[in-house]
Amino acid sequence: MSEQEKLFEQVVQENKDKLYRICRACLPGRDDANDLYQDILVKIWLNLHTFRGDAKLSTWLYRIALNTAILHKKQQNRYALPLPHHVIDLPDSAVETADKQQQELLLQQLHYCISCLEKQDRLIISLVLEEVPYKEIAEVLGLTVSHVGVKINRIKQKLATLMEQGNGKEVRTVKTKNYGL
Amino acid sequence: MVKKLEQLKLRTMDFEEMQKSWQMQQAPQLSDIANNKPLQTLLKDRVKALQVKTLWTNILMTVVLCLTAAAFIFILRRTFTPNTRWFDVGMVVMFGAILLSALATWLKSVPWKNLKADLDSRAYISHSLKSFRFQQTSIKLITPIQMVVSTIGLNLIYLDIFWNESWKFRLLMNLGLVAVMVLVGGLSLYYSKLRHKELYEPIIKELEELEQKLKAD
Repeated sequence: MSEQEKLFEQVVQENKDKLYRICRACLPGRDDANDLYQDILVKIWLNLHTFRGDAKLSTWLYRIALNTAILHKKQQNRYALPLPHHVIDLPDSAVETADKQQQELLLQQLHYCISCLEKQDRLIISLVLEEVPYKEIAEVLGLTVSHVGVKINRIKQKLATLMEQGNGKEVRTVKTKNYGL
Repeated sequence: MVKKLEQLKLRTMDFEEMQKSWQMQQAPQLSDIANNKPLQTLLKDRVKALQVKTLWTNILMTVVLCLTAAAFIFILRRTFTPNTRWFDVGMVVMFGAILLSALATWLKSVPWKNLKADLDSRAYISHSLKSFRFQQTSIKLITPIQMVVSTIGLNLIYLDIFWNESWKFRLLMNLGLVAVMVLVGGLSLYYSKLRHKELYEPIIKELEELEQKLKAD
């Protein structure tokens, strides 16, 4: 295995969860997010030779992820990689606990509310949810820090409103599920 | 005022909770059971295989083109005695047009060209828009230029082939050829424009909107 390949595997291994969550924020559907995630991994591999260390590795990765999300499924994907049938999504055994279920419900609601945001807001919130500093978000987006700050505050307000509005709806959904209606 | 501040504080707290919940999500453990390979290794291997395949396809296309040119020059050209120099000029023009098409196809087939995915998002959108607009212009300009050059080349060859025929026959043959080329070129241009309109115009519009909204306060 070459140095480049080792670096790629290491970079992906260390950042796969972050990258996947960005995909989940940018695209509402799980399958679409999985597609985008694979697309991002391919882009990282193809662009890895361009990483010179001028920017932080995380900034470089966020840029690749967001830019791939911007054009995902728009360009004709010449390197589409249909995965073979024996590639499976391994189940997470810990999902069964009550806490996890509660967490899952909150996440479902959050996913729904994020999907209600506009595209550019979803791109930004995907980084905010990862607690990326404003300065780094500004570097990823090519905007000024103050501009990013204003945008983030607005998006947070929108998201909070959506979460508040969505609470009643979520409770109704849960009750319906519990009573088997 | 105090109530508003409390609400704002509550929202901030809620947002921190959201962040914590959000960050508990993990990437799916996709892996190739048969070879025990993680997803990244599988994708990397496939990309490498595709890069090699594309390279070989392009090399094969170039070899076939060169062999065709060689067959024309060394076999057909020797058995066929042209009347004038126009035959050779026509052949050179024709092969020039074919070589240019081959070069364009080669460049188009390289999927990792001009990725520039590590630019900041604003610059990337701007770069992508330029790229899509260039493709739009190339359809409008390159296809007609290619057809005109091919028509000129073929007409020069016709001029030589029918050198000893009557002027009426020669005129008819040349006009017939021009008509066919205009028809083929027109149809090709129409369908490429149609395809571009369906494929790229919505993307260009969406990217322009995204660029505007990112810039907006």
